[in-house]
Amino acid sequence: MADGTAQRKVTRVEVDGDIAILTFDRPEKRNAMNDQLVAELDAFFSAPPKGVNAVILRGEGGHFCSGLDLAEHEHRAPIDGVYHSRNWHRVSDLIEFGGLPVVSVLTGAVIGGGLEIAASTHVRIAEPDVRFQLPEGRRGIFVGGGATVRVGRLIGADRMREMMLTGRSYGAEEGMSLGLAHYSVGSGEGLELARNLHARSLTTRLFQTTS
Amino acid sequence: MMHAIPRIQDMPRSEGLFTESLAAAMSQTSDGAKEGLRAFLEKRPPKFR
Repeated sequence: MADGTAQRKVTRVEVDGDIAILTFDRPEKRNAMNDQLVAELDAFFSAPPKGVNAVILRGEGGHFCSGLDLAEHEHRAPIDGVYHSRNWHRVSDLIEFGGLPVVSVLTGAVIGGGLEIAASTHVRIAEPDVRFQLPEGRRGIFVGGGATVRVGRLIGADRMREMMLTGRSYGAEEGMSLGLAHYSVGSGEGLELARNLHARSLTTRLFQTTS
Repeated sequence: MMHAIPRIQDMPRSEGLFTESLAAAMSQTSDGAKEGLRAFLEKRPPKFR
């Protein structure tokens, strides 16, 4: 910070055995993605803690992530927007291709950039209150975090276009049938399923380093 | 900008991502886009001409 005071972090990491749980911690903003959140994700996935073999992403306060922090976005010049979007792509590539399996527990708002982040995770677990939405068309902006590529490949360009045009949302069951989520569980059960999936997963063992 | 979506689908991944960034930046520049965003932040309905 310019005035030298320490900035409160917007993510929280707990390491439990060989799993790291990264919680988005801006509940007052429904975990909207600001530059700091992107930077903290970048730092984590660029250098995950030693001994971690899987990551669980979740949101504090009942919402996973309500998307781009629009207040921060509003005064960004277009060229800065390009750099911002490209940086976001780089960070979501770190999540998807960084080498660790990433499970997301999807509750409440999974909107815009939040859906983009979720789409870069490998396993998506939806709870009943989840709402998948791409309302950018109604706000006068376009997706910039990779949704066209990732979400488009999940549900098809046609459905993605419809989501953006109408701003409609999908819930847990429909989301699962479309591929937005892999699992649909009861309220509060997502984290436990995430842990169980990791415990049962042979793949992480196969690629585990022994150092 | 809606036209970009199916075109991006047909591009290789990294090309699609680059195009998306350009489309996103372009979309912000219209008066309608700015009004839509401002209205959202002010929690009021947008006033499009």
